[in-house]
Amino acid sequence: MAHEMSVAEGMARAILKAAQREQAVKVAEISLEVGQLTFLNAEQVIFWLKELLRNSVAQEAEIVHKEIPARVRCSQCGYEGPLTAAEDPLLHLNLPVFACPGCQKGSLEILEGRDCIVRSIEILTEEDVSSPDNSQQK
Amino acid sequence: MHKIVNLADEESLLAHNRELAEKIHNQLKERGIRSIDFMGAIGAGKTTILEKLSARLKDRYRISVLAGDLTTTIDADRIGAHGVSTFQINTGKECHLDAHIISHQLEKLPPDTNLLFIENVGNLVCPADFPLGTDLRVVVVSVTEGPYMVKKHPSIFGEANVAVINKRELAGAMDVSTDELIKDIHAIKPDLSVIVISARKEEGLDELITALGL
Repeated sequence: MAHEMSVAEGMARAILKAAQREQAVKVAEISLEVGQLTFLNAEQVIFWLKELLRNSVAQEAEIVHKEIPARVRCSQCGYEGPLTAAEDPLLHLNLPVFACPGCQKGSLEILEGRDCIVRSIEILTEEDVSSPDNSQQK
Repeated sequence: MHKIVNLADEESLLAHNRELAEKIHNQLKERGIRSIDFMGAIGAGKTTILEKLSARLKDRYRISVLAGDLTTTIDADRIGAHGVSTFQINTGKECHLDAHIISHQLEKLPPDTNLLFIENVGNLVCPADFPLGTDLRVVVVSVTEGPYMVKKHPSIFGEANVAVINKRELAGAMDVSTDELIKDIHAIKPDLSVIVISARKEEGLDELITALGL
């Protein structure tokens, strides 16, 4: 078991808690953000999330995700922005080099790209489901 | 109308782990404990390195070792044989140690501990997402893992403060060039300190101890 499942468990908890708080009868869409610097495979996170949301109000939700690129700050030259990609023909993924693109030194503070979160969920409430019938009655 | 509910401020597992790691780091600092997390694949030599470091450093430091493993006490028993305090953490099926597990172990450490080694679960991917609050993170690779070890798992070097290439005495037999491995590491993190050692033959250990600031 890899840590994708632990991360997905935290997400499922947050989604179902919010759905209950908002009195959702259905979650239509779940938007995830996966940081470039995490060691997570987004497809696996989504697989586990779907499994964990089975038989819940979110079981039919469409799960979309986007990668959040790394953003760093250099304490030596003040550079703030993305990392540059490693240049190696063997690398098929965009792999960042952990050196400041400004001064090539390594005193970097990571500002973005280390998280894997649920950005938002799109929900339907009782009102959404029953309102067409109500209008017909009137 | 569908409603969009923003969850971006909900607690995420990785962010929660980092906050807890920060707390652990402060606690260790207050207690005057220096701390180092050793990450690497199964068989890279993490336990042997910790045995040798413990043997060499136990007269200068009061050492405690937390050894993470899925099910066995092999690692803690081996390191414990060198007369340092060891605590086995069995993670069951979990692929990494996390800050939560470590926070529960801290109270067990003998009060006079001033150097803490943590041996992470043998895994070159998952532990990197879970900092434990240590001063340093060390990644251990060995030449017996083959010539593409670094190229295939580059990201973990971004997390590390020191990289160790172990089993250098076997490089010839494995037809692996340690220079190439160093080059691969520096392509990812140009100023990462890389120490080439043979833990078993006790070569390069003094250099490693210096690189760890001990």
